[in-house]
Amino acid sequence: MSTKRVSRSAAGNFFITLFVLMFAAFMMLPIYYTIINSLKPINELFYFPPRFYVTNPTLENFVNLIKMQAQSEVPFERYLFNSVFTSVISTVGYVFLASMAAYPLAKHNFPCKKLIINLVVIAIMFRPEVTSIPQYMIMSGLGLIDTFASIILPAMSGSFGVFLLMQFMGSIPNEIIESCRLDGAGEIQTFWRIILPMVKPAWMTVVIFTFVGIWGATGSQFIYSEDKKMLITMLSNFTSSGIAMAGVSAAVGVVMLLPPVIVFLFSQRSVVETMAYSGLKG
Amino acid sequence: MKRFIIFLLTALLLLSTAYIPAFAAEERGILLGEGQSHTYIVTAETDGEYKLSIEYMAMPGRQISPQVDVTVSGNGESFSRRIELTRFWKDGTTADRFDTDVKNNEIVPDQVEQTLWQTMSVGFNKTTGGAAVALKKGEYRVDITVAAESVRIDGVSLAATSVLSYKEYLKGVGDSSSAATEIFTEAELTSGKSHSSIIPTYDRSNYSVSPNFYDRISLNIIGGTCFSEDGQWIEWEIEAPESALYSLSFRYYQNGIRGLGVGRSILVDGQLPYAELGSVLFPYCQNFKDLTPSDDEGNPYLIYLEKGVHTLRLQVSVTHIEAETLKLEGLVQECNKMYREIVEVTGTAPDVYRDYYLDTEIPGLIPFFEDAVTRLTDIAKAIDENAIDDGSETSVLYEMVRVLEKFIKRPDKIAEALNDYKTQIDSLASTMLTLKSQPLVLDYITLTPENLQREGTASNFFTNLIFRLKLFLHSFVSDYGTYTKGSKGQIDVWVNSGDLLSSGTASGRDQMQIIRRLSDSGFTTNTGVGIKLSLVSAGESLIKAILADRGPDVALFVDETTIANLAIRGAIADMTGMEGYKDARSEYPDSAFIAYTFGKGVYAWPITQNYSMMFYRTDIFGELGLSAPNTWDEFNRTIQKLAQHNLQVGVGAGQDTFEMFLLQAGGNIYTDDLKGSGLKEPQAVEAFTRWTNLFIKQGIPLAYDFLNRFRTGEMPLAISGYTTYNQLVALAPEITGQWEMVPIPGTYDEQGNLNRTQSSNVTGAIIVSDTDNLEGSYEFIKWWASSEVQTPFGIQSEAILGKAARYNTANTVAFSKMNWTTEESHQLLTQWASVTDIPQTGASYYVARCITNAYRRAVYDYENVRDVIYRYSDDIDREIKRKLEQIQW
Amino acid sequence: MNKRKSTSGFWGRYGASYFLLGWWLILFLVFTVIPIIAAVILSFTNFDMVNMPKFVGISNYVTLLLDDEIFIKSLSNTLFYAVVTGPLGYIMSFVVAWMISETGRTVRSVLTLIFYAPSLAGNVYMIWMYIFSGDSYGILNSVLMRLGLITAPLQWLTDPAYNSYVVIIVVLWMSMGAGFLSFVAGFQQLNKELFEAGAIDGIRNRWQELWHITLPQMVPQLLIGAVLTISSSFAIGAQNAQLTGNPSTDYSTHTLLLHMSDYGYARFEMGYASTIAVVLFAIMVTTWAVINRALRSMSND
Repeated sequence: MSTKRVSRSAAGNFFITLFVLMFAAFMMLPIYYTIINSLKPINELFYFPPRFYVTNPTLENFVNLIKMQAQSEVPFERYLFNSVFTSVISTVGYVFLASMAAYPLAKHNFPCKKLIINLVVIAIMFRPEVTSIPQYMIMSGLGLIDTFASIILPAMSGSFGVFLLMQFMGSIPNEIIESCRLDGAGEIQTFWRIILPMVKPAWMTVVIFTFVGIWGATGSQFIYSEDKKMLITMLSNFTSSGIAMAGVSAAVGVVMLLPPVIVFLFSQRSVVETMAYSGLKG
Repeated sequence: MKRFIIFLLTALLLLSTAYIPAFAAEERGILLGEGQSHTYIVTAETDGEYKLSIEYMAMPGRQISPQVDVTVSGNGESFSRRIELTRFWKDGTTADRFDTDVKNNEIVPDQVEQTLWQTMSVGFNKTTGGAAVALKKGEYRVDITVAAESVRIDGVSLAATSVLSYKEYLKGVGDSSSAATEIFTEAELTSGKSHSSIIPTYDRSNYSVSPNFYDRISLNIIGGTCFSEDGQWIEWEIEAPESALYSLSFRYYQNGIRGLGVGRSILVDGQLPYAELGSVLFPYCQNFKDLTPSDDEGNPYLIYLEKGVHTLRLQVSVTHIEAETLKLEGLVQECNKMYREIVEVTGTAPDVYRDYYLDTEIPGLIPFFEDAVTRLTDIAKAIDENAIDDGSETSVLYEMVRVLEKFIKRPDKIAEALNDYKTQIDSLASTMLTLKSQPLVLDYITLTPENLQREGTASNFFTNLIFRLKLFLHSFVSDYGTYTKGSKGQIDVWVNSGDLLSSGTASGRDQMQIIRRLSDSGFTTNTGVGIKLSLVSAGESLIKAILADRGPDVALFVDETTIANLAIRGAIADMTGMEGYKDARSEYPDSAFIAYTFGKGVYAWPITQNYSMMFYRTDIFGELGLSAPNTWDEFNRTIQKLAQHNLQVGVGAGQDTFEMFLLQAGGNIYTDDLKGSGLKEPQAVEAFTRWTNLFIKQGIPLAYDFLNRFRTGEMPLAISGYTTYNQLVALAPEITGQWEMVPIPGTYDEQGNLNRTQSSNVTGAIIVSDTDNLEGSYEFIKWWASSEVQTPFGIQSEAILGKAARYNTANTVAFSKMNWTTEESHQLLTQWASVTDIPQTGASYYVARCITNAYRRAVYDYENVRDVIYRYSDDIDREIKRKLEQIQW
Repeated sequence: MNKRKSTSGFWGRYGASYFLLGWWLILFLVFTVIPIIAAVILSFTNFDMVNMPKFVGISNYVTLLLDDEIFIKSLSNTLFYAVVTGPLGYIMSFVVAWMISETGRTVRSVLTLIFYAPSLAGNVYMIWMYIFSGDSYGILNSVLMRLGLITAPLQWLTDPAYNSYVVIIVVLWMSMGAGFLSFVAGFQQLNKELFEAGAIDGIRNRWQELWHITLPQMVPQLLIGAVLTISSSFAIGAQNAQLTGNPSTDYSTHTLLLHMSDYGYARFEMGYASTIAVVLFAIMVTTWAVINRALRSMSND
């Protein structure tokens, strides 16, 4: 069903498009540069100042990257697994936990509700740099140092996702919930069948945010064993090795960029499909 | 009676002569030490092409090969070249393949030198490199001077270089037995090699690399960048069960050079069988492949092996590219020289709106560019002709041609595009670097008798997949951290994974593996203490871990500031309690301990020490009639003279430069009791003034990229950390022999002595106070700090990470065994003797930032220097007082 | 009405709520709340990270508020950056999300990706260091010198006159974060019928439409965006340290966050650092309270 909307002047359209494109270019600049760098052969990487184009693009940096890991005792697949495993578990776990937690906070009433909501908001503001020492002590006390739990559990304890979902759920009209109750559904069923699908756009944000955060986190303060280290830790070992490695480290940058981009595109697509289909606010 | 006596005397005489050959054999040849020379007379029988053949024995010394300067003169001509006389190294293993550790992983063997006689046949003309030289018939005089290390030389002759052609060779071989079978040898099991840096290593990326196991590491390949320079060779022992003609097949990997491939000579029993094997090219590949040297029609080249044992030697050969790289080197030098001449007129940042009339100012400019274009095109064509594959090497050359042609057409545009010109030269230089390096990785070698069909090894996708899967699953079961459990307990050692490039050593996984190898065999077996190694950043992670009692027992490569902070708070142990402390300390200079001394205790053990040296371009200084400055006054005058030619000088804007001036003036950052700032003293003010004047009055650039500017020559003088030396050697070969590293300028003190004092930067090893195993930790530090461990650590690090990452150890004994030449060593040791260090306090972080701020106020804002330093000195005093209230030191 | 479960008694009434909430709540308390409380407690101590903390009462706060010049400097820097980049980044995110919400599905995905990319890309912002390098061959310097606008290279990153602006540019570049994404999501969730109704009711142009129809529906997202913006713009620090050095010349780009980590990890005074954290936090909460009020009142008209 097409909507009738107030139209925009053609000039307005043009300027907006221009502005968006220029701005987009500005945003892409460093990333474009990293991609270009990863395609440069060694002699072009030596240029100073660095150039924004490549005359002889080559994939040899990526090939070299693969060859480099041939010399690591822990196989590359293990690092990859570590990163993917922790990222996926954290993300999936957090989406569920946060959704479950947000629903009562948005729609129910119970003792301490106000207190908890305030804590949620406050906790977003408190910077982790200073809590890192107490956090370390707690981890150590629980015996979680040098385990995956030391990364997964804190990832699932953040309050941003809860806050976000709370807001989205808050705008779901109460009538829908009432009608579910009338139909005899318990709270948990209501949650599962009705609420969850409705906040899929918010899911997307939480998924990306969490995944990107965990994927890019080295966890270096909690993890010491080589076979539990993350992919980014292993790859960033190359970036500190000087000029000759410049091409490989650019390739590293590109490789690390890929999974978040994939997750992003994937979640975008599924969200939009659901939106078109669900017919909210009928 | 008389007859009896005569008989006796004769018998004695005869008997004694029997000993003479024995003596002569031991004392064969002439022993030449560094700097010594000898002259030989040789004859060229006819007109023809000759190489010089030298029979020599390298005397044990350092790891680097002896180098000799050879001059051949006669018949009105004279040629000279520097030649490397390689040593003979072997793997020191006792097992069939290699020694293994507790987990059955193969360990890289120690390299043991074999002192024996070798013959080298080599070109002696610098401009044509290793190629033979055309000589007329007659006598020639050969002067040999030893430039590095020492050798025995037993004879020098001119060897005509005619080698058999393949057809001729085949005519002369013996019978082939039909019972001959395939001979297989793993390339990592060598019987000899030219350099101790050529070590076997492993590649687990693919199952087809032989042999590969999912549950342990096997060293299955050899080569790579460590087997890439002209003159390097590897030798294998081959046993032929039957006499026959065999074809050769190499399983290799080469990802260094695309278009031209990488060259090797194949020698059997020390001789080149025929000319076609003199330059076998290994094409570029992205995965392991087989190469069977064959003729143009695809028929494999055969060699004849009689039944028995032979040696097969693969030697790096640059004959296919040498002429071009030499020409390119010369061209790069001349282009740089022309760049400097242009800069002299325009400055490094030319005014784009002005026409400098460069073609008339510099008369040779356009003719030079035209000549360069011709030379570049010739070189590019030669490379393209020889190319066996598509490659990108020549694109750089054509790009340069394009730029130069633009210049020829429009000389008025040169000034605008000066930066382009410079970048092109840089690019050209790095291409030349790439072309000179001939890396090759080998997996195994097969010799197949002529009549048998060679079975290729196809790498199967599925077997590889299964292998990777097994590797992956095994990673969950395998324990990577803990190694040998000793009877006397275990200690946790953390190796700093942080970026330590500023102090010259990049720690990382490679170093950790070297430590593991060394400690398994050397430490745990001797002391019974097991070691668990981890790679962890020595910053926040270390501090937090210590706080939570989860810290290591020992941490390595920790920076000065962290050590100071931990020491004054009692978190790390005093090294003076170590048994054998004095002996261990005698191998180190006192200056390395200054930053770790608090009160009576020494709280860390130095590992690396970095200080600055002065670098200058001898060629440019020669042209301008300058000599290397010895004092700061001379240095300032040199800056002015160079500025007249628009050339720059580089001096760091960091605290270490300030400390140079400060220490040479007799001052220090702190007062003697370390409880106040020493920066208000007249010496400090004077030092600060002199330092900032360099930037304000002399216009030294505030930030610069040393490496590139030194190469082009626009910055022919600079003071930089001595590890820059290695970068220059590795990355700027076109200026070899045109620059020198010398100690920094000094100041004359009252006694008339030249004081070249400067401060240094150290990294250290610490023991955490809370450790359960203090004895074991002390033992580890003692073991680690000894030259018996520091030397192989340094050598192996260099072998794996390359020359540009040479280890800057603080251990003087180990230092003397690193691969520095005598001359370089001498310069470094001279400066090292004057090196000291600034003590650390709990407020050191504050001092650093105050000095930087003071510098910036003076240099950016032109504030009065004295006011500035006084102000910040007061600031430091305040902070020191504040800190002392919290913690004493 | 069917009562399948008893809804009387504490657990009957609230059981489901607590069940849903509980899982996350436990993690939250253990890993987030308790460390925060610990940090607040630490702010009343002197703690050098090696030995046990020593209780000192409110002396840290007194020192901080009355005797710490660098605190004042970093406070003013923080406010400056927050005021400039906060609203600017917020509006930018909103406007860009609005603009791209009009485009088709694929284009929108691509554009969202492009604008979110700086946050995806981790350390890529280091490229800015090449651009602003003080070397005369640094990208910006060499371009300006070529054009003849300057004669000597400028020290963008180390000269206090310039480095603040560099920081602002980079921060803005990174400001399209999760807030931006939630705006995009919000735009997709708008009720199309209200737009139709508005068109009929006499809304004349885009601006009116935005003010009267779009914004009120987006209040939840606006709140989220606000929270994130406050949280991130007051806590600017890591990029500054990388770009301009830690500490920057004369503390010119020093922010509260850097001040805090300076005391924590460089000076080994974690108690004082916690104090700064608490103060920073108080500022953020206050700002949030104000903005929260404003946004809620807007949704009520």
